[in-house]
Amino acid sequence: MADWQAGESRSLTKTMVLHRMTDRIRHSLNLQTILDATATEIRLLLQVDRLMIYRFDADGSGEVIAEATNRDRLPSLLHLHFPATDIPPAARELFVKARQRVIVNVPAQETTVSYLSDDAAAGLTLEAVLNHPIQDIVQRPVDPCHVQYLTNMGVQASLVVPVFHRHHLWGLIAAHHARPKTFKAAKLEVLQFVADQVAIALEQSHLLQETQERANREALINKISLLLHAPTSIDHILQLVLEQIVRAAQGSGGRLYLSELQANQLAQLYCYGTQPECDPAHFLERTDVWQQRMTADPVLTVISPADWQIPTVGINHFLQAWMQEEKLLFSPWTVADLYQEPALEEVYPYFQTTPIRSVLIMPLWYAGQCLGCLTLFRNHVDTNILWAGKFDPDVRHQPVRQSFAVWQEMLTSQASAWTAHEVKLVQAIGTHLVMAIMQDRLYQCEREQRVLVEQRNQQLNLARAVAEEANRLKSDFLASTSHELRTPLASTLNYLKLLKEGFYDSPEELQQYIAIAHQSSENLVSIINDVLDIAKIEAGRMSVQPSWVNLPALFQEQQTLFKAESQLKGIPLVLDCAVDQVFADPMRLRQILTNLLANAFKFTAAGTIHLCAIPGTNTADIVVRDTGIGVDPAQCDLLFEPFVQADGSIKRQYGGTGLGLAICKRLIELMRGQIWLESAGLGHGTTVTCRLPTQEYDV
Amino acid sequence: MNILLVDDDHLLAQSTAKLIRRLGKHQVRVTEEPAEIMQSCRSGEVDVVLMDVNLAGARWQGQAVSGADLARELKNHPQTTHIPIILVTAYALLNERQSLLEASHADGFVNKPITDYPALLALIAQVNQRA
Repeated sequence: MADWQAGESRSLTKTMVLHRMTDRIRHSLNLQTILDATATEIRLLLQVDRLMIYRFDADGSGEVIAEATNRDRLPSLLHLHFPATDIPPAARELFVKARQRVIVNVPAQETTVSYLSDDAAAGLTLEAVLNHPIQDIVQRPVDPCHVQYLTNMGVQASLVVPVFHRHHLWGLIAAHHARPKTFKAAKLEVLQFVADQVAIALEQSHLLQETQERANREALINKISLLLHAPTSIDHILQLVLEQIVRAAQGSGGRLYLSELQANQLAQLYCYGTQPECDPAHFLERTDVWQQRMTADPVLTVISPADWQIPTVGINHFLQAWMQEEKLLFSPWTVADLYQEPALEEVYPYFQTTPIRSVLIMPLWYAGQCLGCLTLFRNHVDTNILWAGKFDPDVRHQPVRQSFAVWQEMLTSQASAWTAHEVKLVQAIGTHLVMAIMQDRLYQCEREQRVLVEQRNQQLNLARAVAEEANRLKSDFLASTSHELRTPLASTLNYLKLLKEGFYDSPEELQQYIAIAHQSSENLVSIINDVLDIAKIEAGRMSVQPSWVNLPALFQEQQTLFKAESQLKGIPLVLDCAVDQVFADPMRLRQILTNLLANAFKFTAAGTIHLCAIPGTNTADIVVRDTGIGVDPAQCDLLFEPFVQADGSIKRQYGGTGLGLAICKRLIELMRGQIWLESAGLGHGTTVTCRLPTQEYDV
Repeated sequence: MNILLVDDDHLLAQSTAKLIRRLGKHQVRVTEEPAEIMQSCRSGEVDVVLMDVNLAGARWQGQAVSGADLARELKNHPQTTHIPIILVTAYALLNERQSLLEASHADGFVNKPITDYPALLALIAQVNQRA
């Protein structure tokens, strides 16, 4: 203390140094800049040849990460690693528990140990500490090995101060001098203060790093969440998301496997980056080890809403509400080195030709159902470590090494483990992935249902249209029938009434009225018969009994039937039968031919009527051709509809019910034949053709 | 009363005409020619028209026409608009009857076959009185 207050100028220097360093620490967020500056400033302050800042790694070894040195006196050790054995666990523990400062004076073979914290020393258990009375300053002889070690390094004086971060020994500030040197209390005070400032800088830097990582993670999850709900195809989205996950988890490749939903569907596989060599590709997920992951009870991690670290802006309400609750998240299975994992032995052949070394398997669960799994790969890495002097890591107690010259150790094909951060990230993204997949599946399901409903609606509409059309035809038929029955009935009734009232003026008139009434009644009966025939056919209650019909005989019969009419009108009926027999109902075929020939005679005033039979392929055409009034070609098909006559005037002139051709058509169709009517136009005659089978069939 | 009976079924028309003549003591003329109908009505010698709706093959001014069309023609012509028209048809459906009446502007409607001649004569008298 006396030294510290000795001179104004010294005090000023010290204050200035402190200010400069505190300023740098507070204003710079870059830890390396702070450490570099700290090393330089402390070396100047302590007037030593080398000032190093040494950081411990997890395995107890360490690395010089900042240094200031006078190269003429001591060589640079920057970026060199020191094995864990150089600062053994007992020494490290003393640094932690006693927060001690060690000053070694090599020529004097003396160590000065200062306990910096009284309360920290209270809980000491280490024998080394218990053997010495705890006091502010302890001076004891230095370990000969330590002396040898420092001597081999070319160091005569050494000062080491521990740096703590969050109650852990983070590293050391070490001052080396090539000549013996004593350190004044005031300077040691400053050094301690600086060490505390470094700890603050570490804390700040750590916080900054954590914040940045967290921000990056949130940004990534948000990005992926937006991607998952983007209005593009799910295939495209899943592929993009897979790429993002692989990159975010520092993987070299990955695959997303979605199991088949139903037996008729295929499993889907999305791949990115380095892949194992299996063919076909999805065989990896079919292996026992992957299947076990997907079928075994999932491993769960409890996640509270605060752990989500996902901005809820832009996420749908459902997902938001879902995230409000405490959740069980499915934990991935992480394997740092797949060749150290016996469970993966069956898949070694797939991986041996690839650089893949680490595997992460995360089954995707939703509501007790495994949708598939996400698998990430990481390649092996080569690390190159520069050691301060060659040592054999396998030898526990080795003599102090003679040289600290750089020794390069190449570590090839190293596995690098998945960090907790990476796992957490994959979990969070995996949850989003599951939601997106489920959403898509629901959407697909809904769409399939909708298509099905639409198809059914169409079928129903069609069926309704058919039913309505049938109903309309039936109504039309009923209305037409009613009309057609009323007309002859009206005549009958009128003439009977005239007779009943005695409104006739002569016996001739009386006879005439009776004849008309009788004729009208007969007309009515034939219409009723035709209507009943049609109704019977339409109702499917008309049956035909087909057999072999001898056509020449049938034609002869028809010629006989129409002989009188033919002679009366002077129109010959010419037969030309080139077919022996057809397979048809003889009675119905006779009815049809009689009808067609009656029409021909009715509508023909002069010329000839032909009745022919022409053979075809498994069929025969029976043709009735006349030279009569003919038909407008546009109306040819219409004539087969009930009650249709080509022209209203035809009825007046020729009579008839308008049902004849309709009945013929239906009967021919019942006999598995066809009927059609052709005409070259009005006044050019009509040809009706019936095509009937000439092969036997079962009814 | 002079009645014009329009029907394309000649035998039926003759019997109907005779029954109206004998039962109602009216003058009845029978025709199915649109031109003749128009001419008779315009000449003022017709008091009531009995018009069959279904006139097969009837043409007027180059168009195929029904009895309902002719009734509308008469009603639309200033010279004949006052003449009462009774439609006669075998189409018995009620909704068709109503639309036929509305389309033709006719005054009455009678079903075919006519079974109740006294009722027909009463209707004729009624529409004639209204005119």
